[in-house]
Amino acid sequence: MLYRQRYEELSKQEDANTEERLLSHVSHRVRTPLNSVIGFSKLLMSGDVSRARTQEFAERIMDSGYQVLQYFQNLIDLSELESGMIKVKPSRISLNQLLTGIVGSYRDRLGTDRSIDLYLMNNEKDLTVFTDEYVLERVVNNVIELLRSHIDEGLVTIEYEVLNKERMSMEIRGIRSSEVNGHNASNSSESEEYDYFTWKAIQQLIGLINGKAACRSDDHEVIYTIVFPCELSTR
Amino acid sequence: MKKETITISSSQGKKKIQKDQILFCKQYLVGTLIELTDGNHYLMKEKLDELSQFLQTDAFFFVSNRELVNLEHLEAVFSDQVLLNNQKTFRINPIRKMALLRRIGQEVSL
Repeated sequence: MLYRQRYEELSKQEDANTEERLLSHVSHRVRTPLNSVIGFSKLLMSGDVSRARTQEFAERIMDSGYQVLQYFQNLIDLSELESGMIKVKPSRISLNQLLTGIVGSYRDRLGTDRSIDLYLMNNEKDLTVFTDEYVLERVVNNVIELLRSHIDEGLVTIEYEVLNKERMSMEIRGIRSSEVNGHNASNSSESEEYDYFTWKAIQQLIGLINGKAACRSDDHEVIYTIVFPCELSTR
Repeated sequence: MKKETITISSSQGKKKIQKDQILFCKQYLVGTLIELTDGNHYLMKEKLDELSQFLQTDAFFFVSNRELVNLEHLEAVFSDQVLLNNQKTFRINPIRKMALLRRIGQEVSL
C-alpha cells in the first residue's frame, strides 16, 4: 500500500522512471546493509581478523542490522498510520532518560571508531513530560538517522527547551567536521529517496501528538526543530 | 588554592567553568564542543584556537588540529590513540604522540 502511494505521488511528477527509482530505493536501502552484514560476517568467520578489526566488523554488522530494522519500522509506522492503527498512548516520561537511552543506543551502534559524535546537551535539569514515548522516540531516532545521512562526519547535538507550560521544543543539530565535498552521500538519488520516506514518517508521527517538525540547513549544519505539546513537571 | 575559571558563552547562555573540569574540546565547522567532568557538554561559537588562548596552561594538549585534551584526565597513550579517564579515545599521529610523551615526561622511542 505504501509503495503504491509513493508510486502515485511520484507519478504525478511525470517521472517516466518512477517504478525503477522506487524499486532502486527499496533495493538500495535493504540490500546495501544486508550485503554489509553478509560480507563482514564472512570476514569474521574466516578467523583471519585481528581483535581490533573483529570489534570494528561486529559494530558494522550491528549498525547495518539497525539500519534495516529502522527502515522497515518506518514502513510499518507509515502503513499503520494510514490505517489508523497507531493510537497515541501518553504517559509520564523522563525526557533525560528517554534521550540518554537513545544517545547510548546510537553510541553502541556507531562503535568506538565512530565518525559521528552524539551528545545530549542541557541535561542538568530533568523534565517529566506527558506524551507518547513511542512516538517521540521514533521521531528522534528518525531525525538522527537523517542527520547521519546528511553530515557523514561531525557532531549531532540534542537540546530541548520549554516554550511555555504546554509546549516544548527540541533542536537536533548536525554539524559537519569539514566542508562538504562533491562526493557527499546526501547528494545521491538514493539518499534523497531515503530522506523523503524518513521525513514523511517524522511528519506523520509528530502530527499524531499534535506537534510539528521543521528543518533548516546551510553548508555547515543541518538543524531539525520539533515542537510538541506536553504537560511538564521538573524533577 | 583558588581554581582557575573561564566564562564561556554557549547556546545555553553564559557559564563559569573551572579549567580543570574540562576533559576535552573539539572543533567543528560551527563552534567548539566542550565536555566537562560532570558529563555536561557545551557548544561554543569560538574556534578552538581562540579558546586555547584563554586556557593558557600546560595541562592542555592538541592531539589533532581540532582536538584539545586535558592531560590531567589522561588515562593512557596507545600506539595511535590516547585514552581519557572518561573512556573517550582520540586518534593521534606519531609526531604529536612524541610531543605528548615529552610533555608528560615519558621516555620517547621510535
